[in-house]
Amino acid sequence: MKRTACLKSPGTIDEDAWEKLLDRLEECTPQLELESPGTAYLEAAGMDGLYGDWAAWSAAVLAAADACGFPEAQLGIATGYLAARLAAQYCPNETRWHRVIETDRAYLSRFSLDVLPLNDEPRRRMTLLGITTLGQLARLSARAVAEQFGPDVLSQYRLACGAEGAPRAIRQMRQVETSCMFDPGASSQDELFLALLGRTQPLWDALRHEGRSIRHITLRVAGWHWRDERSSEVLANLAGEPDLPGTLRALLSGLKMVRAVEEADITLQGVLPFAVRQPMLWTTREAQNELDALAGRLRRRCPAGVLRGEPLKTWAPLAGERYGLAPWSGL
Amino acid sequence: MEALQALEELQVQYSGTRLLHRGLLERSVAVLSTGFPALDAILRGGLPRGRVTELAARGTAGQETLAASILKQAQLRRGAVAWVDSAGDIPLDLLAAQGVAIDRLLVLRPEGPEQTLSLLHDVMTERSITATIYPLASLAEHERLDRPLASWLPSLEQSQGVLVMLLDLAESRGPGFSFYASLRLQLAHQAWRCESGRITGYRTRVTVLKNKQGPAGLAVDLDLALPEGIR
Repeated sequence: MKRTACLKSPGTIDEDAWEKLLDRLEECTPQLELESPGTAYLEAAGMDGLYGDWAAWSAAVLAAADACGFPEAQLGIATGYLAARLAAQYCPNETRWHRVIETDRAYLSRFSLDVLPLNDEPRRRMTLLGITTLGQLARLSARAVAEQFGPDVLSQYRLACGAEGAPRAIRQMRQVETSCMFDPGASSQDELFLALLGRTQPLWDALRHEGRSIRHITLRVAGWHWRDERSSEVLANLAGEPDLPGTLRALLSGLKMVRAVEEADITLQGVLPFAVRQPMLWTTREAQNELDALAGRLRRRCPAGVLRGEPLKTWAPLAGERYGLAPWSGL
Repeated sequence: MEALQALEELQVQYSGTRLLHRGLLERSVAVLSTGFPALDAILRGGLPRGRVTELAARGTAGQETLAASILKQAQLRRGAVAWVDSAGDIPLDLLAAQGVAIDRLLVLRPEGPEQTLSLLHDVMTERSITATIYPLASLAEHERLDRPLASWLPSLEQSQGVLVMLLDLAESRGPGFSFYASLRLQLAHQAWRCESGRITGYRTRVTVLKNKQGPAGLAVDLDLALPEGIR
């Protein structure tokens, strides 16, 4: 079930401190959506299970806010954005968080129309008709709302009914980068491949050892008889098993005709923290390590029979066949 | 008073097992939610941990959907989950559509009966595995497992895992139930649900045929939705 949480901090916001807080929040949620400085939406589906209960997860989020200088930040948990924001805004001061237990529609019904961005004219007509709360507006039919107040009010009407609203801007993952420039001394593609593999493997291992998911690899090469340097880049597949030799082959095939390379510059970009960035598939590195160790123990009994599901790599999977099995190996 | 004293003595003798006195001696068993509150309610909270549960069904009755929901609940509680796929027909797309993180689901595909037995033993002993689904491929497999599984029950009780066996009533041509199952649920398809001429789900009745931890004979109707992409 979808769950959204809103972290809201009142007053003037120091943007640097807010960015630091967002970095910290990435440890608590698989996805962050931003509205304005001081308001962030966190994907919260399944977080009660990961942390034990909602109180523990809320404590972790609020502790991050405290550590970054937002001691007045409050957290609201609901299904949709509006209910989560209002739950954060009007939660009890002593706990600083509130979870909407009833449906969003039932929770929103008590709020005044002031929480909706309504224009003056429809607002005046609603007041004349005695409609002052979201609950009263939600009880009308969509057709009646469009006829009485104009079709522009329908989006606000849907919010009052507990519909989700448009998604906010998803925060891009923070990038970390490592690079290496060297003279491969290669005259053929195979030699260049081996030289690249030898130089890139330590960078690759170091990034992965630090718990980063490698997202983006760029290779630039230059030769004495070329006018321009050539470059090639690939996006690593987060869901699939990372494969450095295969990735390097793909990079080299993107360069075409490479001979007498004098200089190679390879850059690996990763993301923090280590996480498979999909709600429900999100996991911590520690949990993943434990699972890999368990799979290793089971593999002793059945070397070829410990598998995991993964999305099929074909471009047009047949309907109903989106996933296949692959041998279990550590992420 | 004598009865209470006897209870206390038993408690000392079988340390680690909490004994209650509510008419009959009854063990307090931890449970794992099925993800369906109505079903949890008649099972006193969910499936008993450290025990074997059987789900028996014929045709489209929600057996795999219920199994998927159990796996999802275990994953939400940060537990490892496994599916013993000796028949080689694991419904990956259905599991993914039901919200199971399939990249963290251990799919165990043993080669032959001996490997099946040794893997099952490992799974029942592993403390980190919260739920295991084991669809029985044939009646012969069921009969072959009877004795070893019964002898490994104490290991399962220690590891506190949930072993769910899926029985296809049409396949096994008869009940073929095992004596060691703590809980046996039978699923029976009731009716399809349609919206705008399309089948969107179905209603299934879950009957508790056997329950060592609570009352048997209770039944509940569940409305199961076919996930998008499978409709």
